[in-house]
Amino acid sequence: MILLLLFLLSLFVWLGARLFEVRNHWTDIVSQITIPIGGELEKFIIPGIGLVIFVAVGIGILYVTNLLLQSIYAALVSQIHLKDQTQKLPIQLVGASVHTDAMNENIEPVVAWLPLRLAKWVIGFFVYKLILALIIFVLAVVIPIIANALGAAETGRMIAEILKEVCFTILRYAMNVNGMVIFGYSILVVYAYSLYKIERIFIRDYAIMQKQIANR
Amino acid sequence: MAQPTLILWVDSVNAKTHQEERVRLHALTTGVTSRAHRLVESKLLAQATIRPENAELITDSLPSKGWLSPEQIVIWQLSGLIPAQYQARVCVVCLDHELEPATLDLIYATVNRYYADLQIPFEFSLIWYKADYAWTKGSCANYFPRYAVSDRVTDWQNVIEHLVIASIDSELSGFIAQQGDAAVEVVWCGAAAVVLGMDLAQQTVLENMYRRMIEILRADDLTQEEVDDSKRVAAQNRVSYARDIMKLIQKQVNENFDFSVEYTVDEQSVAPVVLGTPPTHSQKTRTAGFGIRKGSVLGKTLFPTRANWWLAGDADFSATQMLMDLLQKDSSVEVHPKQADILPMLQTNLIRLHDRVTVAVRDSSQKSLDSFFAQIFQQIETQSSYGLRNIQQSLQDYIQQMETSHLLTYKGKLVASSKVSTTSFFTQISEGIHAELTDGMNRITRRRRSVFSLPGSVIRMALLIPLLNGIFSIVGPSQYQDIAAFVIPLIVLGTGMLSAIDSYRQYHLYARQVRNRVIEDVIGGAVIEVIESVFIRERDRVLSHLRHLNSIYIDLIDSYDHTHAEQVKPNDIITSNAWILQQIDTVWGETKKLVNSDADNLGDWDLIIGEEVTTYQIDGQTRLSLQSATQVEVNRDARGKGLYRGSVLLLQQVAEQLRRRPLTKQSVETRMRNFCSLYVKRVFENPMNKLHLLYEINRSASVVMPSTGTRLNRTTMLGEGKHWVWLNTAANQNATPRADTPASTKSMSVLLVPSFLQGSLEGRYGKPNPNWIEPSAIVPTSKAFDEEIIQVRMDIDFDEVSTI
Repeated sequence: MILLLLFLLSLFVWLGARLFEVRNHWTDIVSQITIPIGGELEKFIIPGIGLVIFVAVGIGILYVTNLLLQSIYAALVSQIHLKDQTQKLPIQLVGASVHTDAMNENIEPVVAWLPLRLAKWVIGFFVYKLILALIIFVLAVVIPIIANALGAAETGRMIAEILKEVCFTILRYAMNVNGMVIFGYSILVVYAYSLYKIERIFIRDYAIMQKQIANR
Repeated sequence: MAQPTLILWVDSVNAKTHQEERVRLHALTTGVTSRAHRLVESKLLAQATIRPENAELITDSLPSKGWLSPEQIVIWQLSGLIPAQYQARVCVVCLDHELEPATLDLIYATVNRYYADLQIPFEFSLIWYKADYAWTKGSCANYFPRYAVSDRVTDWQNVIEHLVIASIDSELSGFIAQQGDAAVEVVWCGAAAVVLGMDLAQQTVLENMYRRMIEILRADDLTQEEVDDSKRVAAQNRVSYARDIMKLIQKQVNENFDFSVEYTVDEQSVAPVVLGTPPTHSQKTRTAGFGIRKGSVLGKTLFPTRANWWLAGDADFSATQMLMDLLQKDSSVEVHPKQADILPMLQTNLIRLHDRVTVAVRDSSQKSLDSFFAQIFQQIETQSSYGLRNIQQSLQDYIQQMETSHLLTYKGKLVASSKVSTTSFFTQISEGIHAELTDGMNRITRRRRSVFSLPGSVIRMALLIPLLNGIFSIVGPSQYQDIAAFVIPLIVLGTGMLSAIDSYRQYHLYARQVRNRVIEDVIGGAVIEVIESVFIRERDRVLSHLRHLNSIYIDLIDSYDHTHAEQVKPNDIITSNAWILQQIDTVWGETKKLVNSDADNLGDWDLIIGEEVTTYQIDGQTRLSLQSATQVEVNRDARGKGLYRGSVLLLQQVAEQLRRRPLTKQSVETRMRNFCSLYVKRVFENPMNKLHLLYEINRSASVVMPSTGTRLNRTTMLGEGKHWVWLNTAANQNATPRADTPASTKSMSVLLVPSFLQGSLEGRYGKPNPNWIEPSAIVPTSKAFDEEIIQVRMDIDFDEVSTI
């Protein structure tokens, strides 16, 4: 269920990503800011309010869906002892379907784990890119100071310039509309898979409960 | 003394009689008549066969057979075998219901005449075989009004039973009455065998006893038709029967499975069937699993749905079916068969298989028991002693054999548990099957349902489209952005579809493996378990019956001994020295004189067998001088304690045989050798004889050493070396010779020692007596003696008394 919603979200993202190309609106998915770094004005594209709205709306949809599912599950659990007209338990009616569905915990092929892994990779790409750029920026700040103390101010300044360029290049890489869209979408995928895991755990527990009741 | 019973078989089997019955009766009467007259338990059982076609020859044939001749009667009377005044009992067993009354008249007249000549009163009783025929025919009804034909005599067993009732001691019948109806029918046959003392009759009786026992014990769970079938099939021999069983099992298995039950038949084993693949061609027959045949009953019941192909094999693989399955939604895909379908069908088939195997195995075990009893009968046939104890001991041996061995071995694994009831067995197997099937079906379904459906794969792969598109828009060349927006989804979705199809095919192979494993582990294991369980339960069932029968025999023996022990008067007590002498006497010949007195004036009685020459006085005591005397000390303690079971019977026989056949002078050495050979032979023939011999020898075999006159009080001799220790110490304490050993003494010393003790006796214990006589004959004994050390030392001096 969760994955089905996510599939719809992906269709929305895939088809409507270009709607976010309008810039300098507060609902834009990216924002362009100018920051004085190193005495100069540098232009940066950062995640905008639109990205937050996008992620929040997606998470909200999934969350509400999860709540609905949980209520359905709770209803199932409350009726787990009940028998139908043929005096059979639910597990005796559905056979092994629910039970075996809950047992899907073996290693799955690439189509099963690739979306989640790829989403995690995308998130990790942005996070590690940011960390790496910050480290390089710190080096670009610290190295001239050390060089001044050592009496090599010119060399230090030149190294700092190079490091700044590298840092800004890294920061700017993939910081556009598409990058932010897949970043936010990746967050949704990861969140959806976490909910899906909970769902599977619930189904497994439910099946175990059914089995226990049936064997009682 | 009980009344001698004269049993007269009137066999008139004619051509109209059924062939089978004719053969049986012929065998019986032949065996009976081959032992014309025997003396057992002071009952005279004489048999003769009279055929109606020879009715006119009865008058001539009866005396010529020797059993009724006046000369023989007189001889028996004079020899003390028959008391001078006694009442004979003539029991006529008519085997033919169409026997002419004239023939009976002739028989009666003949018997009457002979006994009248002998002035012996007698009772004339008639037992009619198949008397109901006779009654309906009216030919013999009320022919002998005093001895009306019993309605109960409807079978050969009942003939024997009638004999038992007619001749058995009343004390025993009381015991039998306490055992209940079922026990009576089992017991009286054995009792009849003992009382009658006829080996072949005993065999027949025991055969019938066992069959009757089987019928009684099986009456609750087998129909008469099944019993008859079992009897019919039991006519075959054991090994061929085992093969028949396995053919039955194989047929059952091969009809339903595509594997075959491998077995070997071990003709030497008690349980001839050994399941499992012979090691010679184990590699060839072992294939990759086995499955259930689709066309079989089991297959049809197990796989009723279209998903049959799912577990059936590659030949049933269908691309259309695959796509149809792949296009289904996850939750709607069911894997058939469901457990709920499998379990009842599987249980039904297993129960059916179990029942059939049970029938087969029961027939097998009955055949095995039949052959076992046939061995007993043959054993009893070859030796004329103690049917009751032999049977009991053989039963004991067989029980131990069954307890220690196993009726069934499977792949070298011994069957362990012997307590499996039907309900618990099927409960266990049901639980096991349920768990195994759940696991197996989970292994089948878990991958398919979540991964291998086409919509599921497409959905999962569609999740990749925004990610890949975004990544390509960042990383990829800008001129291909528009193309990539359409190519990437195609690639992704196509990959998902192909992945689903590929996974589906992988699953198909995987499902085959799982299928094979499930079937092999669960169903195959269940089948084997069924077979094993059947064997186990059949073994337990037979064991319980045998134990019950054994206990009956033990009680019977106890009761029998107890009864006879109380009847024995002190004067009749002769210790088993005499029994030993009887064994000698059996081989040697006749005893001239039997003296029961304290001949050597040493406080105990002596049993001296020999030819009396004269009497003389020594120290105011009257002594006998016996030529060819054999003097054996009688133990007073043993007399005081009373005799245990077996002793009385033996000693009565000994006394009578000693009286009947006095000792004569023959070669002592030859006699001793014969005795030893007889001793060994009898022990080897039956371990029970060893027990008797051990018991008797060690109980009261006080050996008088004539050369020294030393009286050696017997102590216990069982156990390793005790006898030798005793000989040594006793000899040292009482070693003073009363008289010098005369030169004319012919001493004979026979030593029966285990082979492993030979040569080391003196080294260990020294010479037991200063006057120790080297054994004239050392009889090595086999391993049968190795369990217990047996020494029989007998010093026989024919001239000892006369030379004092």
